[in-house]
Amino acid sequence: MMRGDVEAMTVPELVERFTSIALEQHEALLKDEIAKFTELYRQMDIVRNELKSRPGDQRKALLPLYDHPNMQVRLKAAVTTLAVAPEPARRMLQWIANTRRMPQAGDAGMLLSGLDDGSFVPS
Amino acid sequence: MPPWPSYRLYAMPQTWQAQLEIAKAIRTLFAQEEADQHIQRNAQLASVRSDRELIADIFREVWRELCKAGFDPDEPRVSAGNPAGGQWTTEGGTGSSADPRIVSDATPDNNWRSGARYAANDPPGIGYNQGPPLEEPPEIPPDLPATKKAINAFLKAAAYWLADAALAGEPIGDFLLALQAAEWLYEFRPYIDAYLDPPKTLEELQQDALNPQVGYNIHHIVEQKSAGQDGFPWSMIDAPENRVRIPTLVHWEINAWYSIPNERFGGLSPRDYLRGKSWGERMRVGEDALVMFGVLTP
Repeated sequence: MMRGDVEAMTVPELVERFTSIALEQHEALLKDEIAKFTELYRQMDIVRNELKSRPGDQRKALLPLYDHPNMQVRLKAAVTTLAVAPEPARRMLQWIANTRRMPQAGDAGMLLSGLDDGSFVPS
Repeated sequence: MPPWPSYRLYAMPQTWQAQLEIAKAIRTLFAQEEADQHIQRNAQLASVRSDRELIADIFREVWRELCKAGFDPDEPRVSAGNPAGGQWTTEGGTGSSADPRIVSDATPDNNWRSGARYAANDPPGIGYNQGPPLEEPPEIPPDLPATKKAINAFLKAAAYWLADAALAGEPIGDFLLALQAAEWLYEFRPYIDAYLDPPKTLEELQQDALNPQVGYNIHHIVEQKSAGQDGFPWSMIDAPENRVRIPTLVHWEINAWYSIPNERFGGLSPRDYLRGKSWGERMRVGEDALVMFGVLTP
């Protein structure tokens, strides 16, 4: 997927694409498919940047994904919305960390640590 | 630093409802009186021990009961202790799923409402049966998967599902019974037992490295390959301070974690982030990973 592929998408379509990428990431994590995960991370960045560039910063359209049954979708939605909805996003990260469900809980804990010590600043 | 979550609890339920589900499955499968004693003992343990220790005990008891039910740890097999190579040498077992005669009598009390937009404002509390809807449990391979990757993928999927079921307050007994039916899983008892170890101090983990055991790997806190590539001497890389013994399954998880991009490191993988970094920074990230994956006490 290239940047041009997402420019024509509506916001709901971008949210749907974001969700499907996160679900594929979940599968890649289960199967230790590192190269695939890395490519999916790049694809998710394209979607994130496209949402950010839309009027009003449409990353907030990812907030409903906090309810998604898949933990990877929740984690990525929370990380991506930190800049636009810091308090709910932080609560979501704390919730994920509290589940103790790895690897997402570990990532959430490390992100919270970075937020606390200032070494991770969402943009 | 906030308290790190322990990944290993995801292998077993964290709620009493779910833990009782295990006990019920045991009771149905095995002698009722014995299972009752387990329930009582677990209840006593709960009052004085941490959740992690309690869950580890319960899981070990499940395995012991499975052995009593007919698993033969002495049955001939090759490459014992090798998760990729362990193969039973005799045919046996049905490899089928759960016994249909055994049905959980638990009443799900999950009051989560699909579509309700509560999480953004008030994330559901853990252990209060307000988790997300539960996905289907992973399909259990009837035979030992051919590759380490496939074995690892199944073990992780099973552990994730058990954790999610516990969060949702859903019964897990049927899935445990299905696991019991897959004889190849018995080969992995040392790995699962190790996986459930409570976190230890750094000194304990370093001391354990002097005593290699099945189910564990010797893990370098500062990754040996990348440190070597960056010019750190082997005497430093393989020093006792940098060697810890951790569960094999955790070793695999940490290796994968080092390899994948991470927002925390600006979109780089931890391994790439650490290129050219000092020994101290590598050690800090390595120790954080051990804490994050539940083997090192915070």
